[in-house]
Parts: sequence; structure tokens; C-alpha cells
Amino acid sequence: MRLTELIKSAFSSLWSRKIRSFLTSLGVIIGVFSVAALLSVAESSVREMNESLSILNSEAIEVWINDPDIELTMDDIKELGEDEFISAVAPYIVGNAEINKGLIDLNTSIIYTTSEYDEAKDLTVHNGRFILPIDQLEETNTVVLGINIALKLFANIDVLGETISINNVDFTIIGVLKETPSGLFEDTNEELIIPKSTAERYFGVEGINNIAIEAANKESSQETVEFLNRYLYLKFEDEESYNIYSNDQVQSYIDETSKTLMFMLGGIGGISLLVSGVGIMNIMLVSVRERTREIGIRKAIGARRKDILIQFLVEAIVLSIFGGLTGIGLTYLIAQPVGNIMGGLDLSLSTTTVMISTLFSLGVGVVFGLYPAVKASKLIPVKALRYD
Amino acid sequence: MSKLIKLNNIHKHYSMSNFIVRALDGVDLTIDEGEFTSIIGPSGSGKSTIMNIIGCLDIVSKGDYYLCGENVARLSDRRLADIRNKRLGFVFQNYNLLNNISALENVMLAGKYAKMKSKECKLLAKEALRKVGLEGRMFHKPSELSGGQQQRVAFARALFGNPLLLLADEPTGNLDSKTSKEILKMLVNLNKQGTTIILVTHDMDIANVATRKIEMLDGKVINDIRREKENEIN
Repeated sequence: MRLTELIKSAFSSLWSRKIRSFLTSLGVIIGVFSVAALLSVAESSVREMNESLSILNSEAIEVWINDPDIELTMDDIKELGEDEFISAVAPYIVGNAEINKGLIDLNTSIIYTTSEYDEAKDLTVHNGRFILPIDQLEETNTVVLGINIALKLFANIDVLGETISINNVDFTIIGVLKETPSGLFEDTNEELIIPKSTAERYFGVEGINNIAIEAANKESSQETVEFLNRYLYLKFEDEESYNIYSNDQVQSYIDETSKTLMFMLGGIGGISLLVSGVGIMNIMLVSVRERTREIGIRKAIGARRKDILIQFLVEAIVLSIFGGLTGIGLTYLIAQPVGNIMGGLDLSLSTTTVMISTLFSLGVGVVFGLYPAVKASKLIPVKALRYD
Repeated sequence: MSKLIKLNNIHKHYSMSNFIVRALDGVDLTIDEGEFTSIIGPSGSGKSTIMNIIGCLDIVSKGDYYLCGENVARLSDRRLADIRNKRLGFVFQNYNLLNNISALENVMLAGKYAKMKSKECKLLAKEALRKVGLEGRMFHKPSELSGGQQQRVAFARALFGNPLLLLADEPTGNLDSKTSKEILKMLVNLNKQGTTIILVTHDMDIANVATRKIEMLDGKVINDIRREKENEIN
């Protein structure tokens, strides 16, 4: 029989059992909806992570010391700063600060660092200036505010010369930073920056456990990481005691995480699709049993094994593709409004998601429809005709 | 007349739980082209089994079956399907029509399996239905037809591709006497037009319509009578 005839026949047969066909497809609809919706969530999260990473400084490198018993010194910073691959290096310590201005109290992160920090972290001052070497030298009570801190304390950013209290010590505001994209580990907009020497004097801060570095250029970023690795290993002889992060590494970490996320979420949806496939197989087996006599009649008239096999396979595929397309349509209608409710997540369906979902549903139809179809095709005509 | 069917020492055994049923036990038979043969015997005599073997609906346990000189006992499933499609036509006691499609579509099925073009297939199917007097009921589903009409559709389907051999298994079994006579007249006329017919029945009156009567018992041919005179339907 011609393929078009077989497809027509499959539709006619499924149409004659409308409710059953729809209920069988419902499993696929739910399965494809799960796959498509979860992949959309995964894609959307990955897209957002990549977008925030793409606007970060790609030359930026961070060194974090994990072991509380070891620390870097200013001599190390000086030595690193002389390397040809490094254009700026700044030590910094992250602390916590109680801020007070009039009636407002804030608890926020504070960075104790040197005048190279703005270059190493690619920060730009919006108002005023950044910390200068003289501030470091004279241990001045000066502070640079992240833009959000300025807004929280003063409701505007023209605050140069104002005084705020940090851990009960008065500091004069010398600058406000421009808004910067929030990084994966920090948000400069929500931080204060004061000279490291001042922090040592007032707050007893000592040692260096973080360094911000800017590589000379993007190409030398990897070489700089390797150089830092050698340097730190020679110093501490324990590669577990420190971590080096570059944006390249973070990118590859995100790529790895994205893959895992996609596989995990796609897999969860895939399981429901597989369950729906078992449903299709079950219904098709029932159908083969119920239509055994019909198969016998068709064979007596001249249907070949291949004709019967294709007929039942096409029925299974039609069920799964119908379910697949309906599931995708449903995701299309539901995903974006749900994304909006979830804080403006862009859950629009990508071509890849549509392709994966459609192919998966087609695959389910073929894989789970094959066994019943083969079973139907192998029936011996005389036995099939005798079946009641 | 040339030999259409030749059965050589045909055996058909079925294995039950702890014994073997010998449905056919060494049957030798030759049927010529154009013959109208009835196979008669009590229930379990092997008459339906031999029809299934001749109709390529079942395979032999032992022996050779020649159809038009070709040993079909050794053919592939695909080739057997071709033979059923192009050389044989079946009429069953319970009509065996597909209930979810119309009379016309039922008749067209054989053409579709022969990969005939849809237009040509429809024309031939309409013609076949006209020949059996059902031109006004073509688009009715089997459930909307009487038993006699359904059997006529089955005849139209069986004769669709001008088969060499028409196999009829108790074709009047579910019909009233008037409709049975009409069906038997149809068989006689078809035979007069040259179609070879094998009629399986347990009813002696119906078997007597044929020009040759083969009696079976316990899987063996016990009697094979040829008659010269015209068939009579009372």
C-alpha cells in the first residue's frame, strides 16, 4: 500500500477511536510540555548567566587564599605587579561594616584595598575620585561608595564631602562609583571601599587573602593564570590552599553547569515522555489485540508484513507527533506568561527546544510503536482470522 | 484444461499441550483451471484447513503445494502476500469486512495493496459492486447492510482483481435460504464465466451445486466425485 494511503488509513483508524487516541496522546502532551518548559527554564537561566558574564571584564583575575593560616604580603603584590602579563594588581580584604548616617543604619560589605583596586577591577568613579596612594600612605578616613549605598544613605549621588560612620569611625566620602554589572561573586554597587592601611589602623585588619588582578590583555589571561599558579605553588607548596579565578574559567564552569542543567532538566521532562511512550505501547498492544481479525482480513486480501507494520507504526507516530505538537503549542501559550510571573524570566521557546521536543516525541512514537507494529505484522493470517 | 492446483502428500499438524492434531494427513489432490469443486465433510475433517493451505493463509507441515506450477510451500511471506492479492479471492462465512470503512473502500483495499492508482482502483471497485448488484449501497458501512448484501460486498472484494481461484468457506452459512440461493447462483455464474471455485461446506445440498465433490474425513480425502451434468439450485 502507498504511504499516503497508510497515513490516511492510520488517521481514519485513530479518528474512529477519538477519546482513546486523545487520552493516549495526553501523556505525550504532558511529556513534551515538561521537556519544552524545563528546557526553556534551563536555557533562560544559562542565557542570563552568560549575559552577566559577557559584560564583565574578561581580563580580570582573582586569587583567593583558602587557608586561614597563610597569607600574602605586600612584597608579593609588588613582585606580581612587575610581571609583564599583569597590568594592575591590588590586594583586598572583604569585611562587614555597620554604617550609620543620621537615622539610617546599614549593614554591608566593605573592601579594604589599595589605589590599584579600581584598575584591577575595571571600576570607574562617577563622582569625585578613587583612593590615591597618599590615602594609603597617610591612612586617611576616606571612603568610596558603591552607587546603591549612596542612594540608600542619601537618596542621591551628589554626596562628596559628606561624612558617614563606619563601625563607629567617621569617614569622608571622596567618590561614588559608576553602576557596574553585578559579578558572579560580588556586587560592587552594594559595597564600600576604604584604604587598607586605614582599616589596619582602626579595625585591626591584617594580612592579605584576596588579590584582584588585571591581565595585560585578554590573550594573556591564560598565561597569567598559569604564572600565578606557579608563583603561589612555589610560595605555599599546596595547590589546595588557594584558588585562581579568571572569567575564562568561570565561562567554562558556566558552560559545564549549563550542560548539566540542560541534561538534568531535559532528563526530568524526558522521563515523563518515556512514561507516555509506555502508554502508547500499551494502547497499541491493546489495539493490535482488538484488531487481530482486521489484520487477518488485510493479510488475506494481500497486505504484506511491511504494510501492517507501517500501518501500526504510523498510528503510533501520529499519536506521538500530535501529542508533541500540542505539547509545544501549550508551552508556547503558557511559558511566557509564567516567565513574567517568575520575575520577568524570558521563557520563550527556542528553535533548539522545539526541535529537541519534536524529535523526542517522534522518537517515542517510533521506539514504543515498533514492538506492537512488529507483533501485528508477524501474525499468521489464518490464526488472525480465527481470532474473536 | 491445465492444472491450477496440485497437492502432493500434504500434512498439517497442530501441537496441542500433550498431543498432536493431524488436521491433514497425506492429502493428494489436483484441481484444474475452470473447475467448480466443493469440499465437504463433518466438523474436524480438515476441509477448512485444506482451504487455508490452498489460500496461502496457512503453511504446510509437510508436502508440496503447486499453484500454477509454482511450489508455494517454499515461498517467502512477501511472495505469498502477492499471491493472495493477485491470484486468489476469499469469501468467508462471516463476511470478514472492515466495519469502519464503506463497502466501496472494503472492495478497494485489494487494489490498494496492489499499489493500484486510487482513481483506477475506485473505478474497478465500483464496477465490481455493480456486478453484484450493490451500486446503490457503495458508500454504506457493513453495519448498514444486510447479511446478503455484506456477502455480496465480500464477493465483489474477492473478484476485484480477477483472481484465478475463488475460495468460499461456508459462504451461505449465515444467510437465509433465499439469499443463500442467490449467492449460490452467483457462484455458478462466475464458474460459467471461467472462474475456478473451491467451495467448502458441511451441507450436502450446497456441495451438490459444484461439478466436483471431494469428501474429507479425519484429514484425508475419502471420496472424489466428478459430475457431468449442469448444476442445479432448487
